[in-house]
Amino acid sequence: MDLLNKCNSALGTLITSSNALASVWVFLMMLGVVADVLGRFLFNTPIVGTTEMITLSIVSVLYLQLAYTLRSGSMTRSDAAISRLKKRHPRTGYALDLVFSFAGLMLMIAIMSMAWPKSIDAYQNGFYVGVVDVFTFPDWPRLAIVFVGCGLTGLQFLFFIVKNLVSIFDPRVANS
Amino acid sequence: MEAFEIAILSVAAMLLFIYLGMHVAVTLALISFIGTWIIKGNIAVATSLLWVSAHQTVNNFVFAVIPLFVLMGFLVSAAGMGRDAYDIGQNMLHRVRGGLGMATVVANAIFAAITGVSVASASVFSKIAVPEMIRHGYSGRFAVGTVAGSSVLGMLIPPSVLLIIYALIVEESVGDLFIAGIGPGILLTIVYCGLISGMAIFLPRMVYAEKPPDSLAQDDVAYGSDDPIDNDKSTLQKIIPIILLITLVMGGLYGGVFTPVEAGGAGAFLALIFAVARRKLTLATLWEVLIDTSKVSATLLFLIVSASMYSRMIGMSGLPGEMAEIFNELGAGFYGMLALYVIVVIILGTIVDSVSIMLIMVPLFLGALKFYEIDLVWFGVVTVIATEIGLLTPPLGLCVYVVHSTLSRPDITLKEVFMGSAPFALAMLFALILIIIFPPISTYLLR
Repeated sequence: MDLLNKCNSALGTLITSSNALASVWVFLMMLGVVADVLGRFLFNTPIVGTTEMITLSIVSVLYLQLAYTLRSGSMTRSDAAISRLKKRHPRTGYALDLVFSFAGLMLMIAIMSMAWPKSIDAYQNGFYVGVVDVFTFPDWPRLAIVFVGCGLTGLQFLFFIVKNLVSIFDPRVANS
Repeated sequence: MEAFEIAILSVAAMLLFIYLGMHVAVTLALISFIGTWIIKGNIAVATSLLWVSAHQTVNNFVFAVIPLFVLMGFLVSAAGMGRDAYDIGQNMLHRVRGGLGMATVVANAIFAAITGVSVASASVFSKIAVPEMIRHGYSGRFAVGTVAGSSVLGMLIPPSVLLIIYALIVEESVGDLFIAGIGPGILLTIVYCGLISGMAIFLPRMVYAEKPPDSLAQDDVAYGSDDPIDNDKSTLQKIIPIILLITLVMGGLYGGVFTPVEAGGAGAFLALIFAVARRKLTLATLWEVLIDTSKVSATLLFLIVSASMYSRMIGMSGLPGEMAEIFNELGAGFYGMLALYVIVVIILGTIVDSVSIMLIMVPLFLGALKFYEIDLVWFGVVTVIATEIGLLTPPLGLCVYVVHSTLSRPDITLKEVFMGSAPFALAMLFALILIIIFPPISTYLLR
């Protein structure tokens, strides 16, 4: 139990930091857009590369935040049926929740299994976004973030699996 | 088995799993993966579809509108502009019978014009308007019903994240969808005010409490406890920031000065300036705003990612074409199909949130309805209203849950909120039928 709690809090720290990074990033995106607009109006020159940087931010920010939305319970799900089930038939309820977390883990592994080779590929071949001689930025960091974000989300699903598994045998744990 | 039959099975399985409580995004992605695999008989097609959706769907500049408008919505709330909107409504209407009810509706409409996230308005107004109305002798049931009912205006009156998402998935202009929401938003505001006025005059029992509250509880007076009603600011001081925001965002968008992304960024920045100028924004609140923003926008973006797999799977299966044929054979025609669509959407609204419903239902019906050459912008507005009706309907109307949990008062049960919002759900249905019969209500401003 102790080990589980330790792992959980370590995972929590990782996920919260990743989300914090992404939250600052969103704020910078806003400033970037405003700077670009101001540049266009006041000095008649948009800032080169803003569009490219903002575009690649969207995917990056999404995956850095994904694990946190899952952990904080804001990832959309309809929880009325399952929470009723957990009250009336705890074991069935936790078993079902375990299956759903497993489905989530599978999805994350499937995306990661593609993201890894694609990031390596993008890194080795020097894929970039933007226009040569104007502005370019390598594409591999964005793909690597997809891998990392799905990894964190997958770990969170794994934690839910373990927690549900423990709860099936000892429903008191679920309330702790 | 035919491809479209596999698609039907997939949709049925998705609805079942979503109802049972599987995460909506996981359900959509995973079942579309399996569906594609079976239809194409090849796992490589399914894997590459998954990868393309995962890293490419939202990898487009225009998707930046989502985090930016969500950020703007939370900043506007943090700046206390919901309170301002409510004060303005109250000043306008407090002398009329049922005036506080109407003030809540009008305040929601005003606030809706500067925020695109309905979560923000539902929670702001349950905290401000409900205590105020109860204090003035309205029944709790009516007060919460009004708040839940009018929070839909937030999704209809631009800017609206729901309209943005619709525009992105059907590839229509975000600006057009915004304009198309204005007419229906005003119509619904008027219908609600008429409803409240009618109830106050003819059915006062449904509006007012049987006996007035015996005391003015201190904690009821204000929004939160540390934010007393602000009489220092004149109405003008409250109204000007709102007008400036609307002018900047909407004016910039329609005047062709801003792209939707720039409008969102500029709006968020102006809201930030207001919040700082009013000393409402400490570093801690800013951090809270950013965390809230990231939770909402990541959830939305990931839903869009998984829904793009789903809509490709549906497209691949040829299901929309089959549906159109079946409907033709039944002789149901356009209105029959639209009626079915609206009914299914309303039923789904009782299970899951509006964005998910939209992402599931639109790809399914759009292909079939395309044969009738419908106006996609108008169809978006119809979809938004239909989903929001479901959010007020038992057993699982989400809007009702938000209002109930934000209030967390022992004297207001979930049932009370549902009962209170029922008249508003009916009024929405009425407005929806009007908009279906007279599309220009929505599309007139576009021409």
